[in-house]
Amino acid sequence: MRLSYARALYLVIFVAAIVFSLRPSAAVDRALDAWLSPVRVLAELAAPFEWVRAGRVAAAEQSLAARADEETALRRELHADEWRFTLPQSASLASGRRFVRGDVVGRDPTSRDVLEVHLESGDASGIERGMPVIAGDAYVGRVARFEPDRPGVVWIELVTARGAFVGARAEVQATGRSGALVVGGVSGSSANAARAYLAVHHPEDPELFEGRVTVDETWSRFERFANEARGFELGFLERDPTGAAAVRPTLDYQNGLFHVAVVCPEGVVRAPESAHADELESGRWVRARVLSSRDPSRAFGGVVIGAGASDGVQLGAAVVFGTRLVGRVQSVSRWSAKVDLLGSRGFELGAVARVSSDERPLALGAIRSRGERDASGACRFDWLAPRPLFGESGESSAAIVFTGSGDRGVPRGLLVGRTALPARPGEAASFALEEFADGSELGELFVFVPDDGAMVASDGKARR
Amino acid sequence: MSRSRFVAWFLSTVWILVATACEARLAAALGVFAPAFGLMVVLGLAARLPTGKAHGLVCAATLARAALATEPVTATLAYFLGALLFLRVVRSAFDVTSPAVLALATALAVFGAETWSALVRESRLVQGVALADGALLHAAATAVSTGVVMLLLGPAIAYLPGVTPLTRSSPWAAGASVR
Repeated sequence: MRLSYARALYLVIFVAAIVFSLRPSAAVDRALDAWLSPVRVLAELAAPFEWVRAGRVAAAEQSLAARADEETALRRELHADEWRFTLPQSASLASGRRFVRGDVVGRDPTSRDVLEVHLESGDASGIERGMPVIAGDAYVGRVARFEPDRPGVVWIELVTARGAFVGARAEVQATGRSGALVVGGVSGSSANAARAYLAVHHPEDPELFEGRVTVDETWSRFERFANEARGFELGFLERDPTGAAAVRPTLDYQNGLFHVAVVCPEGVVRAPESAHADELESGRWVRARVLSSRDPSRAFGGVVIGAGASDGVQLGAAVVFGTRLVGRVQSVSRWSAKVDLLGSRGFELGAVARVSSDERPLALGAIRSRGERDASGACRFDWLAPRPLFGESGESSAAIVFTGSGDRGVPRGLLVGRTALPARPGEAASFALEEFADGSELGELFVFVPDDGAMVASDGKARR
Repeated sequence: MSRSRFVAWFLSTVWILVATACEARLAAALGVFAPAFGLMVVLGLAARLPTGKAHGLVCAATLARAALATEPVTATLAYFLGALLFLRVVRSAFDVTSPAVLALATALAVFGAETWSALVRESRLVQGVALADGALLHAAATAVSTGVVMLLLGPAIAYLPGVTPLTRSSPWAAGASVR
């Protein structure tokens, strides 16, 4: 076979296509999606194949619409409970302080230990750099910086950040033994583990490897908000996998933070808090027809919708039907977009659950679809950072799963599905999730476009 | 390009689009046993076209599949470039217009293409190159069903309405002369 110019070109394009398929380049994907925008015309030509399911689509949409009120009530209840449990439950921690609550809406693209928080009332007046941030009775970190052009936004640095030191005291209740120590950053041996330990520095008692660890910086003359931070829990002192002293944290800082509260002095000057804005109502919705409900590439299993960049659709945006999450935009061209559905292999989201055995909403953290369905048609999801629930080993608790906050473009509190969570999940857990809405059975979907534009740009980087 | 050729290329794209849409519909009912009709039509046409027209066929097929599939366009491009390259290699040794040869070649090409699609999906989820459990079995099931359908319907593909101007003056002998 002679290697003519045409054959050489063919081989070069083939090799390039293989390389860019396995080592994706955002620029190449974006350019190809832009060039191929006109293929929307071809998708329209295939529309008659969608018409054959019109009856089934109408039935599915009517059934979902009939449950809309009930599901809106579920969302509101979840939000009220999440808000309630963001504040300290212990009376001693709640008194003498004022709390300003906020939603975690994302992480700093350059550091996962810095969170973007949208405060209630959209107002940061009275909040100062260095103020402690908590979730329930647990210590989270400190206010790190503000955004002058976005008055309700603060960035907080987690106690897991390198160099985020906080004075603490470990106390063994049974014996009364205690010791001061400094906690901050992640213990090196557990940095890549699902549940990392907090590193311990300069322990007053090097032989102490047990006890409840709470914040105590009252000995420091430089810590302005020591009284506000005092008493909030960091976790439990124990030996990490290398045998060194470390704190097993109460919170899952990586996956479980959806709402936090800034602790202010009681006398802080601040207007009364107004009702919290619902992200579903603060954004804009783009209506989109489903152009291709069945994916010929079986390994992917998404849908193509008839709305694109020209309508404001952006990468990573939530695709919903009513208050139910259907999927997320995975690529955008000018006039259409490709959507990963909940059941698509690898679909991942931060989730929170209402579990029947507990009135407190449970932050599930990240869950990821395996792309498999069981005999009843439910999707199998991996629970990436499982935690124990009330109940014995082998038991399970019925749960309704919602989206958490922290994913840009995905409003918190969207309904995801119904499941049964294992009470004692161990290191690796999975569950079957019955979705509330299957995007491949619907004819029309809605894409969320937040008004503030704080979304993921099509290059995959955060844009503000 | 003459007007009739242009129309023929357009109709080829439409036929590949229709076949891909049928494939996607059937996959919902038959799962991994649904034949890969899109690639089957592409290979059925390629077997009758001179090898020099492979570029055009790759473009038509990529456009048709990209309109309906959610996989990355680079993966779709490699899917068809690889399948047609494979057919070209087979064609240098065998008469691919023979139904049995074409069915076997199609089954092998579909196996490779479906494995490729699964490989791309998995590689975008995990670090490095990987395949999901069962991906090879699923690809094999699709390959067998596609091969069987190609054996039954393959000869008819070249006579799909509107595409004959592409194949009429390009019998096997003409294709073989440029291989």
